Formats: sequence, C-alpha cells, structure tokens
Amino acid sequence: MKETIILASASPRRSELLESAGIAFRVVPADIDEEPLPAEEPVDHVLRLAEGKARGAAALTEGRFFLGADTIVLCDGEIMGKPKDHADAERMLKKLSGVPHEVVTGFAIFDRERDGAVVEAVRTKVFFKHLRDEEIQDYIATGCPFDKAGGYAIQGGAAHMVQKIDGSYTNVVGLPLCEVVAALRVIGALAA
Amino acid sequence: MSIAENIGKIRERMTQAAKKAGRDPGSVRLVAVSKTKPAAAVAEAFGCGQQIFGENYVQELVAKQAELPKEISWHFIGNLQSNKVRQIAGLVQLIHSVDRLSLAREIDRQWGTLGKVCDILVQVNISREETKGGTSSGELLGLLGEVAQLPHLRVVGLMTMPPFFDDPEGARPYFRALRALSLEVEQAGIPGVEMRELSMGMSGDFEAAIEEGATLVRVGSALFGEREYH
Repeated sequence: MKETIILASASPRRSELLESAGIAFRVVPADIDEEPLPAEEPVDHVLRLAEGKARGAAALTEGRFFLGADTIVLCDGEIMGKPKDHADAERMLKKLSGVPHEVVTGFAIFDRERDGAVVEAVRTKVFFKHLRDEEIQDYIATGCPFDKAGGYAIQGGAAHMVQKIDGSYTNVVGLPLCEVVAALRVIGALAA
Repeated sequence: MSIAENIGKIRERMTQAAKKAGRDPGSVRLVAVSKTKPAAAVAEAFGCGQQIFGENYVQELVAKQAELPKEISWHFIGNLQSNKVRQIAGLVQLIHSVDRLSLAREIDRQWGTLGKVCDILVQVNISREETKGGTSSGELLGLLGEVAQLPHLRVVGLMTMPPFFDDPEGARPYFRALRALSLEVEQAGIPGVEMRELSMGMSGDFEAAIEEGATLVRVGSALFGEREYH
C-alpha cells in the first residue's frame, strides 16, 4: 500500500509543485525557529531547518514520510530569509538589483520507520535586472515580498525582474521537484 | 455567561488582535455561527447588535430566516449541494464554501433567474485533508478563471478550514498560507475577481486568524455556548 506523504510546509507554492507532480500528500506545517545559528554555513542552515520541519511535523501527526524544505537567498555572503518589514524588503531588493545571487533550497525526507532522513540542498543562480526604485516600491506595495526568502517570488509580480537563471526553476519557487521526486523514490515513498 | 456578555468579550478580543497586527478593527467582521441554535438565540444575539449569522444547513437556514427580522444578514458557510442551491437563492448575502465549478454554475443559474448577483468566497483545502471540502491551492487559479465568466456570481475572497488543533497557534500557518494565496490571486489580476475578504478563524483561533489578515471570523461555541439544542 502506498504510504501517505506529509508536506511539513503550508507554502501554497510547494503544495502546487507537489500536486503538479501527481503526488498524493497532506499538509501539516511545523513551526520552528528559523534564525541562523552564529557562523552557520548557508547549506547547513537550510538542511537543519528542513530536517527540523520534517521531524516537527512527525511529532504532530501520523504518517510515515515527512517532507520539510527551507529556502534562502544568498547574496554577497548574506543569508536572506523572509523580510521583517517594509524597510527590510526594500533593502533586500536593492541589494539584489543588477547582481547575480543564489537561491538555496534544502529539503529533508524523514522516514519514521527507519527514524532517519534523506537530506539534499540544491542551488540555482538567479540574475536580476537593475531595478528602478519605483519598481521596488510598487512590488513591496503588493504585499508579496513578506513571506518570501529574499523578498521576491519568481512566479509572481517579480517575474519580470529576472533576466535568466542557471539551474532548477522549481528550486527558486521553493522545492526542487526533480531532486525531491528522485529522493522520494530512493527512500521508498514513491514506487521506483 | 449570557450571549450579550459573550459577544462583548469576543468583540473586545477581535479589536485587540486587530490592533496587535496594526489593522483597523473595523476591517474584521464577526459571523455568528448559529447552526443547531434556536431562532430565539439568534434573536437574542441580533438584539445585542450582532448582524451576520452563518448557517451550515439549508433547511435550518430557511426555517430560521422565516421566523426572524429581515435586517439580519445570512451567510452560508457549510458544505453546499447543488440541488439545494435553489432553496437559498437570493436569501443569503455571502456563500463561503464554493469549491467546484458545478456548484458555482448552479448558484449563477439560480441567482440569474432572480436577476441578482451572488457574492461568494472560494473555499481552499490547504491541508488537503480528504474529509474537508475545498479546492486545492494548485487548482485555485484555474477554477477562478472559469468562475469569473459567470455573470450572476462575484468572487470576493477566499475561505479555509484548517485541521483541528488544541493549540490556538496550530492553525496559524494555514491562515498565513491562505493570505499568501489571496495575494497570488490578486497578482494574477483575473477580471471580476476581488480578494477583499478572507474568511478564516473560529472560536479557538480567531485571534491568530485576525493577526494573519482575516476579514471574517466564524465564531459559534464561544458566542452561543457549547450546549446543543435539538
């Protein structure tokens, strides 16, 4: 019998991606502290949070496989999470303007039966055009930046700001679908 | 505790939650969930200034409405079968629970025969629990695109029912997700689709919902008490 997969994130974007792959799942988000540890490397950070979310959801509900994910934007050495306020969003978007940055998503699939997790981090390079101040202000006014790492979503009102990407597109959206599906097969959550 | 006292307390908590989030308290409305409560209880709450009542069952709504003042505003918040739509046509101001095109088409048809337009919310099943109604996040935009074509129906927002949690914070991520979805819909700019209402939050968690952007909270047991009437 197919085991149900639990997505440990309430992000509609991740939900949409998994759904598009035809995967059956439930959503049980786990709320955890997302602050980076002192001197924590970006990849270590996203993997720790992804596994924390997966295990956190396992503590909340029944099921066998728990998928957690965390996405950050990495620009000039700074780990950008979700902007705290208007000024923070403005600062992030100004910094991203006209320079390449990396989107790093870590994901973890926790298997309750084996009490272990498969983890992986995927990196995509994103090239923003130069943003005019009013473009930044208009975009912040939509409210969209506030629940997105780096203050933007590639599939929404910020799509026109992206000149090109190098790597996985779904990774920038928040879940590297190709890698996640492969890992779900490896761990036995999907038929091989 | 009396219904009057309960309403006063709920309104006070709603105001505090709105202020905490930097929102105008006037932007959040209370829907008193009156399913299984007698018309007398509704009349009492209406006498205390409560304007909007939410019902889950068609027959119950029709029966109570016949007994009560016309100034009351009724919302339909339960699972709605297409073959029952005719009975509430023109009688409710908002339907919170539209989750499929066939239902939207029947609402459009019934309101059309009256020459009126029905305001609706689209229910989204963020948790993807099989026991819950609602469209999925992924299907939402497609459904809205179709529903927007119907002339006697106007989409004014979204509704969700999170899974049940003892902890009032448990549902917060689902509330946040619904608000994020409504922003995505606004960005998509579908003509005729407005995103001014977010119906989310119940007796146990309406403060968290207001902090996350709710404009309609559906409160039953905290207002009328737990007792069931039969």
